[in-house]
Amino acid sequence: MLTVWRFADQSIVLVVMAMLGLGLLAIFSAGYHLHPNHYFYFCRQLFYIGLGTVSMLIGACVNYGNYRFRTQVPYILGTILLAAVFILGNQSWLPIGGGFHLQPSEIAKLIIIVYLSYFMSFERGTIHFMKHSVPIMLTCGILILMTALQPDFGTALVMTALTVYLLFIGNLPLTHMIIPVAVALPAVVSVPFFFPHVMKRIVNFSVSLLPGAGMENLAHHDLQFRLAIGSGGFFGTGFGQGIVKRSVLPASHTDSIYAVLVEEGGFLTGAAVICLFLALLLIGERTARFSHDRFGALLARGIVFYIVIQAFLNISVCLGLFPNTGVTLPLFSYGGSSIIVTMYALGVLVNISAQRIIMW
Amino acid sequence: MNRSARQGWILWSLTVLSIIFIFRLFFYTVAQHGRWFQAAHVRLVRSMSLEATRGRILAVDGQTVLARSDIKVSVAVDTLRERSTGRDAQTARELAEILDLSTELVRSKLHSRFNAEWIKRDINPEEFNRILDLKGCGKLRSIRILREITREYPQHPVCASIVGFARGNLLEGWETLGPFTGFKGIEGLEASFNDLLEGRDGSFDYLINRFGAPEPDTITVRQPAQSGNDVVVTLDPAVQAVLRARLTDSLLEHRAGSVMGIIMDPMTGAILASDSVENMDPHLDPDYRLHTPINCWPPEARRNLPATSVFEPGSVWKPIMMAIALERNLAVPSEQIDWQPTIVFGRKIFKDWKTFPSRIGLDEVLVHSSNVGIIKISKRIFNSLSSRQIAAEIMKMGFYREVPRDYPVHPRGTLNHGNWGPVSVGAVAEGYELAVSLVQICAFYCSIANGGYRVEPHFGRSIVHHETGRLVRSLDTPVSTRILSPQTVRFISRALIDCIDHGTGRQAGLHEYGVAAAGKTATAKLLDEGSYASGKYRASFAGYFPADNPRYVIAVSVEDPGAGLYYGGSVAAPLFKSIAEGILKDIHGMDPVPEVPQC
Repeated sequence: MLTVWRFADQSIVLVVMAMLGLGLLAIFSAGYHLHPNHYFYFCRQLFYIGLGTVSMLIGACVNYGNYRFRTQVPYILGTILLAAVFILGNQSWLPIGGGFHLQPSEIAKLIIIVYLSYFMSFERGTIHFMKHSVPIMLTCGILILMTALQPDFGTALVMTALTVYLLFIGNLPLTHMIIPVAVALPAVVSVPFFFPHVMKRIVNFSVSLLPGAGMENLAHHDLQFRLAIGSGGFFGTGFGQGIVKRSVLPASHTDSIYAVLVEEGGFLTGAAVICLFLALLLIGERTARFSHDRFGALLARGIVFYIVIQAFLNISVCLGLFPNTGVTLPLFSYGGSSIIVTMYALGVLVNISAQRIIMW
Repeated sequence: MNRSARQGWILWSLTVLSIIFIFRLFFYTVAQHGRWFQAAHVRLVRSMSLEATRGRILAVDGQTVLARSDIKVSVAVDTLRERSTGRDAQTARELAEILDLSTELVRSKLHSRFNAEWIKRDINPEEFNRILDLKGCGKLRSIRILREITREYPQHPVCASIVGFARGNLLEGWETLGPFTGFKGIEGLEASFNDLLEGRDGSFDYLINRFGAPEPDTITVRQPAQSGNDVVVTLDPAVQAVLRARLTDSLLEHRAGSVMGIIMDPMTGAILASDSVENMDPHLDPDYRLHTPINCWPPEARRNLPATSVFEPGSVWKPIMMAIALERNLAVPSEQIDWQPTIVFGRKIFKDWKTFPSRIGLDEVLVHSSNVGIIKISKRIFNSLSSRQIAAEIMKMGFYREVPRDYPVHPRGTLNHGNWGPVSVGAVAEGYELAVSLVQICAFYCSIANGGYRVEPHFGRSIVHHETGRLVRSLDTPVSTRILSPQTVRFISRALIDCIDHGTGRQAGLHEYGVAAAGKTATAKLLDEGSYASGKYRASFAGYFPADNPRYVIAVSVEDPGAGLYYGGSVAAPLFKSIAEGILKDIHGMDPVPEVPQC
């Protein structure tokens, strides 16, 4: 483990620690009044971070090359867990006892990364549409569809973006991507018609984009996001002093944690959070570039992309640039499954970065 | 496009996206900060005024409370809003469980025909917190927890007419609940000391949650409420109780129209008790007065006549005329006056009430209340002084002045000296053709009792801090102006003592208590529609005790006694005695000294 630490890109750990630290402060502030026990969410998050650290250490110590073998096992396990949600779970949560819940869709993201990295790492002369592209896309499509039907459209959107990204940088011919997109598009377009809340969010977002749209045209959640972020100013209202967070901000400790950060930490903190994710993206890219194999490179890029794209999705919702999706801010928002899986993935990134040096 | 080019595109896209985010963030947090900050405060912060607690009115001992504000937390329902929710059954069930009431009772209140209805008043903190918890969850939206202020008068009805009352305001939208906020003094000491009793309202801000209910622990006090000061007044409830009881007894005994009395401290001018009772059934009924707040009494029943009404004083005025003559050297204490049965001024014949010897001493004029004697003295005054000078002398004695100044109503009386004619020489001498209040008469007798110094009748004693009890300001009026020379005081006080010993005020004597008293009786005809009615009199008495070291000055007046007796000596003097007895017995614990059988 010490060898891995010595050769790993330690900036990954620094960035992660900065994110977790900021997130913990925001959860303390946001969760203080949400539960009769003021420290409930803080302590739980601290516990999750502890578990996440263990998972990160495991991820960092296990040679990432091992993931290329038996990729079907985690895939099947992930599919079973997603299916179990429909039978035993509540929306996208699966009870695991002791008041804890598991979110299988978080694991599914990691499965997609490993699965696609593995398949796209082969050097092939030509990629056959029916032989290669269709099975890959079908395999990922099943996981995405199961997540979407939970219904968890936000995570499904992240998974779709991740799939498209990995296929795109895996050098899949663009023509191969057009046909499945053409098939999937009507399904995606029809979603709002079957799920009124999705339609409502899209309509509200569209209305807010209209020229001359004022505060009164904003949907309830959008307005609260805007009030919280706008109230922050350059330096913020101060730690624990946010009134929108305290009063009306929905899911302040999960989906809206970025708004809490900006309200209490101001523009400086908000920009710092964006920069931290950008830094993670660049660190991941550096790790990928110096990875000694294509699988490692794809894995590193996939891990970083899934974290960054989810973060950007969350931030864009808070800034009124995208309809409300319900995705959390990775490493900041409260939630055990997300923290443990994300930190495990970052552990894998550390392992990839460590092997780069070893090979030199 | 190769693999690294594709990745490059993605990286550049995400970087550009980051920059867009930062610009967007800057736009909201810096460029539009003021707009959103204000919008957030307008939407989420509610301001509420915090009513200052009105100060207490305390009796002379500084302990006995005459008026205080009680703050309760009560629950009320907006019935119109409750009906619109259609959740009355659930609301009734939840409230009944929390407030320990029957569901049917709560439901009947929810369906009240009024717009608002109290559900339970004076709830405890646990009930308060449980209701607040439910409201925080978006339930019980039609239910409101109100800070209810009530003004309590523990000494009601004994001190009611002096203390008066304060009336609260109606809360907009909740009028049917009655007044329970913003109390202002309307009558009595509540009105006159209103500025001192009223505090300064504060205000606080609190956050509301998404249901519009207050978020717990978000109260920020913007300006703390400053409680009003406590006012200590000169009123002694024990003395007041004695006075009130004796006035009521006298009213019933003599079937009088009204009876009033006032008791003052001769040294300071402090009014210890002041009350009046009027023959207006059923308002005389003690039960009615006890169980009905003073603001519901008819206006005439809540008047304090000694301070608010003026009348022709009759013979209690004679010492004033005598004092003017003596002070102006128009009479000598040792001189004798020629008496005659009648004396004529203008077309009016003034008769004396009994036959006197042909020559009477100046003191006998007061002791036996000789009309002719005082008229002769008055003639000297009128011959020597102009009417303006006489009026100035009367005013110097403390009349025709607005007293007590710290009571909302303080008529100065009527002197009408510009219209005095020949008849006025006799009329003014007998206490007619002018109107004074009982408190002014009492104040003059205080001057005799205290050695010749003018006193300022007053109710206010001191202002003390509501919470710390620290003295803020003293309201006592210093006694400094001498209005009567010692010789005049000695002569008049001797005459007043003799008046009770063997004069017209014999029935006011306190010999059985071993206490010497001094005083003067009066029997005055009552005006009825511009002329003096036959058979209608006002019997008055003003005096003090103990005569050697006066502590109490009492003035009483019985209007239109209808039970046969009407002389001041037989109606008002016994009333003075009974009041003095009550004070000696009930307050000083004195018992009558048994008479020693003479061998």
